[in-house]
Amino acid sequence: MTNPQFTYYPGQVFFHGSTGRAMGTKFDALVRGLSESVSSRIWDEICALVRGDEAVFDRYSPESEVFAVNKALEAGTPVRLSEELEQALVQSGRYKELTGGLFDITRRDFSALKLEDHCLSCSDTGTELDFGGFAKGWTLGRIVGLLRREGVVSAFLDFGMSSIYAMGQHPAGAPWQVELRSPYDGTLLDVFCLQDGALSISGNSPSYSAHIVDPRSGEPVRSRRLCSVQCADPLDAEVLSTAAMVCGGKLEIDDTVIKSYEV
Amino acid sequence: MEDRREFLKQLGCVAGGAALLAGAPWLSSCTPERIREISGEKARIALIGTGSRGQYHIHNLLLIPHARIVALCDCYEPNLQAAAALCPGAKLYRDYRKLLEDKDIDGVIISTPLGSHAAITLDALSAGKHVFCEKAMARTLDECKAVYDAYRKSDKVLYFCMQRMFDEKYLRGMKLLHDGLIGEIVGMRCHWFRNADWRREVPSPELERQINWRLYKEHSGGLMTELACHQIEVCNLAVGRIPQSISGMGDIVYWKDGREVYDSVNVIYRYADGRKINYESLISNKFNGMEDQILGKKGTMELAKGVYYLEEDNSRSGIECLIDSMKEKVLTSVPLAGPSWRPEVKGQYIPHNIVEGKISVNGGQNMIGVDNDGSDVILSAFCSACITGEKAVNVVEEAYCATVLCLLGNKAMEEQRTILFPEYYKIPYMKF
Ligand SMILES: NC(=O)c1ccc[n+]([C@@H]2O[C@H](COP(=O)([O-])OP(=O)(O)OC[C@H]3O[C@@H](n4cnc5c(N)ncnc54)[C@H](O)[C@@H]3O)[C@@H](O)[C@H]2O)c1
Repeated sequence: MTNPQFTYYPGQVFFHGSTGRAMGTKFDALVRGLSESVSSRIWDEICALVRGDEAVFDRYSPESEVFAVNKALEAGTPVRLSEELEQALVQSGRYKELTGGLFDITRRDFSALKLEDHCLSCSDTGTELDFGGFAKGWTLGRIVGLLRREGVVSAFLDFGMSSIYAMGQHPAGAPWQVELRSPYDGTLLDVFCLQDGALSISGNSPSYSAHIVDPRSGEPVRSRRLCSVQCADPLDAEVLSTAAMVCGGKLEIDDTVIKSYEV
Repeated sequence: MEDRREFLKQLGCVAGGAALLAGAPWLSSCTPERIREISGEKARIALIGTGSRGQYHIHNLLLIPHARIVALCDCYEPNLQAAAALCPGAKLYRDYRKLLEDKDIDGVIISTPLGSHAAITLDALSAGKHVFCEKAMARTLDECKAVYDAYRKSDKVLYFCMQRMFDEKYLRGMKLLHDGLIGEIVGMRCHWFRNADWRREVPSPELERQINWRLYKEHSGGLMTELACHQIEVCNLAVGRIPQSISGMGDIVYWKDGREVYDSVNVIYRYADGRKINYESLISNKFNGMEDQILGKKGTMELAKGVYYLEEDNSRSGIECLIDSMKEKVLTSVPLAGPSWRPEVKGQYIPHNIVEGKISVNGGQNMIGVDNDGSDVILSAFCSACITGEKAVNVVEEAYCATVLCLLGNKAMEEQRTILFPEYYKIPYMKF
């Protein structure tokens, strides 16, 4: 994480925290109803949490746990996982099943992984863990938990304006509202009202395309499409928006609103 | 090629096609009507200079139905033979003067080094040939003037290969600029970066200057005439004015291999109202590639990439809007990003395409030419004009303005002073 910033707005009683560069994007929090000193403490805790998750999941950073795990898998040696990474791995296995293989943190064959007695090994040395479509939702979920424990009832939390969790309401007394526009020509695609719920957007844009891989074929998804997923849990939303991109938006899950936009 | 044919076919009939033509009258020789009028006829074309660019033109000519290559001339045998292999049946000449005596030639295409453009063009016009000459127009200011004066007196068709005037993304971009899409134009930044020495292999040392003509002042104006020429022309078309003063610095920074021309140039062209073109070219780092960037009060257009950006896209980030709305307790819906915001992307500008669908983008690294950059369209227009005798509208004038400005850029760098556009080289076409 680079250069975190904190601003308190006493008149309206909320704080804005911004991490600068974090988890391949940036994180912003707008949290209402706390005193300045409590706000400042909570923001420090959020930063520590984000830093901690970066140290686990950032596969590009040689200091991260996933980096070390990938090196071990490459070398064919079993490796012991931290509690957090083990939980995340087990959880991603469930998502693979839930999505019928559309979501796969190995981007090829999750079933080649073997977890035994907190140790991970793999029958195929080409396998790598990539939590790119998972970690932001995971971290968001943990931040929501932290705020709930502190008694916060209204907040807007977002990674890169594409993975969002909204608690309670906007100060105007209505759900938080965000809109989705085409990254190609700016046309309005949708407006979302969020109250105690998550929204995740996944897709291709002119400057960032073909970054999602279809685990079934190994091919990058190149379609000019965006997918949005709205549901209660930020990790569900994060994972399902990637899965929705992989299958061209044709995904149905209970209690989840999944939409696809051709742009 | 197919794509360009499509572009030509559409010129007259698609929405905006007629408007495009109105803003770019030089396209008249390649409209579908004109091509229909001359169907079945063939211009008899000869090439003088069949090196790399000459052979590139041959490939395009072979696809133009109203052209037939009848003769080739080059004073360097390997290049002549290479071209001959592409055009069986064409007569071969080693001296262009002999070729010009050939009565069965309607038009000549000159792709020789810059130093010989003026002499060959003037001789060809006097010999009664229609002429298509590569850019830049000529090596010196006086040669440019002589060619321009001859053109004014001649009843022959004359073209210079200013292909951006025939490139769809540039044409549509110009139309959008002139319609005010990015607001008032406040400045221009053009650059061309490569990381290569511009050298060619020389089979024996006495051929050095002939083959590596680009590196020697006798034949070449260096980066300004070889590269900047196209870009200055775009700026002139964008603002419809000619800069009044020129200053710059030029150096040989990296390629200290005996060359005489700069490998690094920074030139500023200033218009009477204070707007400027900032021109930069360096050939020992290619990070920035090539771009013709027009800066407007409301947006920015990158013509080489065929995209534009609007200032308002970048006015406030989603979070900033949200903070404003929280402070005012007014609900507004704030914009999401598509894929999440990434730190390496400059600003939050959204690129908008000038032309819908697939376009070719010239990264600027190829020395010979790229497909679909307008070179084939301008060649087709010339061949059609060889049949109809229709003169090119504004093409010579634009080539003159751009070339003179490039040569003045060199002069400003060599003399290390700011130069005012000399009265003597002004022509009525120029507005300052
Ligand atoms: N419009 C463009 O984008 C573009 C791109 C590349 C080159 N060019 C221009 O094309 C021209 C040629 O460039 P090139 O790269 O093909 O150079 P080149 O050296 O490959 O070819 C020039 C040829 O001209 C021949 N020649 C020289 N003097 C001659 C004469 N008096 N009679 C007959 N032949 C003669 C040479 O032997 C050589 O074969 C230059 O003016 C250059 O600026 C334009």
